[in-house]
Amino acid sequence: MAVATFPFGLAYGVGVTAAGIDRWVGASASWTVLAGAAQLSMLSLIESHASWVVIVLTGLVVNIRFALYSMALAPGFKEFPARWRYVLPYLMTDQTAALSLQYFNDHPDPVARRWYYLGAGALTALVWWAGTLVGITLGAAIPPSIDIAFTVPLVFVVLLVPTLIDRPGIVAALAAAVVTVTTTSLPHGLSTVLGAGVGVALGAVVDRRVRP
Amino acid sequence: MSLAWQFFIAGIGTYLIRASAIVLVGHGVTMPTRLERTLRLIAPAVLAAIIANGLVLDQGRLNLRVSWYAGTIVAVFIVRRFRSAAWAIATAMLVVWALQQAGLR
Repeated sequence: MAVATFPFGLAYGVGVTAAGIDRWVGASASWTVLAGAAQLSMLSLIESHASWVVIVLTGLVVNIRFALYSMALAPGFKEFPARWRYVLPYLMTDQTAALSLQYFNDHPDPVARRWYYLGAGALTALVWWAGTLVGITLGAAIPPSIDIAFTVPLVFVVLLVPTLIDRPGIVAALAAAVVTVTTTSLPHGLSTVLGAGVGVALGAVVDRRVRP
Repeated sequence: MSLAWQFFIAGIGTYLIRASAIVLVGHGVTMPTRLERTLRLIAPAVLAAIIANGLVLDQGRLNLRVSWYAGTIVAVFIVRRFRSAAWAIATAMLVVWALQQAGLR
């Protein structure tokens, strides 16, 4: 599972060098934000010169899903001492949450649970940081004949495909793409925000019709 | 606002989202199913918006790159068929490189 994190970290690191921003500032996001999709969204908006409010808010919106994981994990964390409950959320990723929820199902011991979560989370984070560092180091050495600007949209395509499992999701994605492309005259990267908003709204309407 | 600050603020916000329910645990917080299902739509919508922005536009202007679309189709196929993100990324990059070497945009 953690191995799969490496190519994304690598792509992010390479993306940072392609975006022409300070390599270490770009890499710092792998420590502060520690979330691939959010970091790549922010990077993509930085490249299109969006305003900082749009950049930060987009990163946060992409990470809203962590609130769902937090809710799902909370019962399993209930027995942990407070300091663990404050520190462990930092390491939450899609993989760590999924693995831990599975593990919590048949392991009621809170000590085993927190060490499992810590192990999974720390391993994923280390691989993410390693991928980022290799990416920003290699980025500059990649010959110009390789179009590294393509890595950022490419990673998103790879992340998007598995989320398209039902009709509401597909409608949300299509509507978001169409609205984003047709409203590009809006300033500050707002077309992306508007596109995502319309996508979620239309997806919710379809969801309501599929499952009233 | 410097970029380092932007990442830092996003990091603090992300931590608060991650910690939310875990820290508030025991308060019996539950979420309506409808809201939860709507939140699940955020990922496909945001990802698609960013992809559209990246693949069709360049600094807000229309910029169509045939090689990128070929690479995207190859990546979608590999992810769906073989469920491997790493192979999808590597093969798509190779396709884009080959097409651009052949003179395509």
